[in-house]
Amino acid sequence: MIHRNRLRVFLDSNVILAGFLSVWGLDKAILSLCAARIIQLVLAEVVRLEIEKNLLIHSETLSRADSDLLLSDYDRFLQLAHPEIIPPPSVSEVQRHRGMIRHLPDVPVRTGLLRKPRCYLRRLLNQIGLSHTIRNISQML
Amino acid sequence: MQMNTNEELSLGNVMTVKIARQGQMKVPKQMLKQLHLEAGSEVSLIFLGNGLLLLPQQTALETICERIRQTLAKIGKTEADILATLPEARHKVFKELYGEIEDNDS
Repeated sequence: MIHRNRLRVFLDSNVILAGFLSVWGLDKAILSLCAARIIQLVLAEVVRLEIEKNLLIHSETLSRADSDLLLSDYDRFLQLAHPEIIPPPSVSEVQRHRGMIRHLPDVPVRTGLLRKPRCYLRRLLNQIGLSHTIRNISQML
Repeated sequence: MQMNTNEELSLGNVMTVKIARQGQMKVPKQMLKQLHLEAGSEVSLIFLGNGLLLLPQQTALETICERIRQTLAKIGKTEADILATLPEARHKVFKELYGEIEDNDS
C-alpha cells in the first residue's frame, strides 16, 4: 500500500548500492528510513534492473549459491522497502526527452523522475540535510 | 496520551520520557504494542542532528546489508568496485530496453 502523505524519495542506483555497502552515512540513513517505511522509496524500473544487472556483473566470479544469495538479498530489501515502481518510459518518451541530458542511458531514469514531480532526489536531501527532512516529514503527517 | 489507532504510528505522536541510570528509557506500553516490540526486541538508534530516531525493523535491513557486504567481500569487491561498474550496467539495461535508439551525440 502506498501512503500518499509520506515523503517520497527517488533514489538512483548509486545511493541504494552505497547504502547496502557502507557501514554508515547519509545513503545508509535514507535506506534505513525507506526500509522502516518512514520515507516512501520511489524506484524507476530501469534503476531496479540496473542494480540487479550490476550485481550480476560481479556475481560472475561467485559460486552459484552466493550469487543466488546476493540477488535474493536484493529482493528481500525490495520487499522490506516496498518501493513505488515507475514503469520504464516508452521509446518515444525517451526520444522526446533526449535533449534533457547528455548521456543517453541516463534519459530513461530522468524521464521517470519527471513523471513523479513531488519526489525528493537524494541529492536534494544531501543539500537540505536529513534532520531538516525529518522535521518536514513530521509536519506532513 | 492520545494514540493513533492506525496500524502505522505517525510521527505526530510525541511524548516525553526520562532517561534513567545507565541510559535506560521506558517506552510506553501502547507504543511497544503497536510496533510489535517486546522485552529483548532489537531496535536501531539513528543519530540525526540533535536527535535520536528509534527504528524497530532495522535488524532485517542490517542483516541484508551485512550479508551483501560479506558475499561481495569473498571475491574481494569493495563499495568502490561495485559503484565503478554502474555505468556499464546502466548501458546494458538501456541496450536491452531501448536498443533501437541510436546515440547520435556520442
